[in-house]
Amino acid sequence: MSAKQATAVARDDRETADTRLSKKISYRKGGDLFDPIAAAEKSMDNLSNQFGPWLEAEIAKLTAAWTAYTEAGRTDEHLKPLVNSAHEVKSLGGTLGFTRTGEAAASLVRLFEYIPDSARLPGRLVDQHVHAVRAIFHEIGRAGKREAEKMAEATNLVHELVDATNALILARTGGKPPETAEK
Amino acid sequence: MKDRNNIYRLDLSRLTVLVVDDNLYMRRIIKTMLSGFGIHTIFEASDGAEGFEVYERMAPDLIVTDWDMPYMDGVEMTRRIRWAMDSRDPDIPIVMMSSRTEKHRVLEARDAGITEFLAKPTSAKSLYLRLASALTSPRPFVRSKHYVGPDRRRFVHPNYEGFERRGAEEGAEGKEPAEPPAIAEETTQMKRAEA
Repeated sequence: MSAKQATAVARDDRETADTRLSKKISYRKGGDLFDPIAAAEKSMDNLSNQFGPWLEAEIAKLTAAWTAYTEAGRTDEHLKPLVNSAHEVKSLGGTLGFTRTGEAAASLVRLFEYIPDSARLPGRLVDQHVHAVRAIFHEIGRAGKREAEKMAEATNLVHELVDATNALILARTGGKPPETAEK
Repeated sequence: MKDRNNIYRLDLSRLTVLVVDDNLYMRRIIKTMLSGFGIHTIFEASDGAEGFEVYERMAPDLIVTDWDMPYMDGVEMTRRIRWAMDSRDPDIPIVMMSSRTEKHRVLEARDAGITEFLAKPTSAKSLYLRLASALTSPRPFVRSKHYVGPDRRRFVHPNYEGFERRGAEEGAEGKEPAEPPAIAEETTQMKRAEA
């Protein structure tokens, strides 16, 4: 067997899967104006009146996790629920249109990614992030729904958090941050 | 055909999808997006263990899964689907969504055999593009000694003449993987029992 033949590795089931899927999906014809992305965005918009309470519930979990973490003396054991909760707020905030809230949570997530052990985490910066997430959510809400001045304040606050986190990470790691798939 | 934004417009009405995420709100969001794409049959599960059960029972055509979940996470579920001897559809497309986007995490998911990775927060457009890619551009399915899943190489150099690692691997074409990773079924059951 040649190297090229060997590269064509076990494809025994590929045809099966491809065949199965090809029976289930088809390309829409030129005259079919259905736009799947626009339709999904419209469905999301119809649901959007529930987004605030959803994110509020996740931020309540974040606050509870942060309270437990600080009251327990900032142990690694209590850090994990806080990290998980920060990820949920980051994911939901950005997806549901609470952009600044999501960005503040993303900065907190980034801090946890680079400094994963509780003993080295700067407590004050963690606290500031949690307070900022709560404040931005309650003051601003969804992007574009409130006045520009408050939005600018939130944007500045997020930038300050991101800058402080970046400075700390660079000081602690002494090099460039690891790559991510964010973009 | 592609529309003016160069996006494939697919009729997905006969597709069945399994959504696995421990966050109820995220499941609702993903289901809403999928419904918007025209998908009518959507199953859901709240962790990897339940996800695997639903996959076995309902035989979906595609899986959208979170990574971090209790009991069994998305990577472990993917490994089980790809490696388990009695897995009913090891080559099912799996789209993994995660807010943990460090490079080593993405590579770990890729090496577990996912088809596409999607960073959270996400949007309807990002999800649709990943789905369309998984459905319309399937990569060769690989069963080698250390890896089962879609070909991790997205580009094959037509003039490559160097060493073919995969071809040199023992059992590269074998149907049964030689060394499947340990699947922590007992651990999962114990965690569930504890909870």
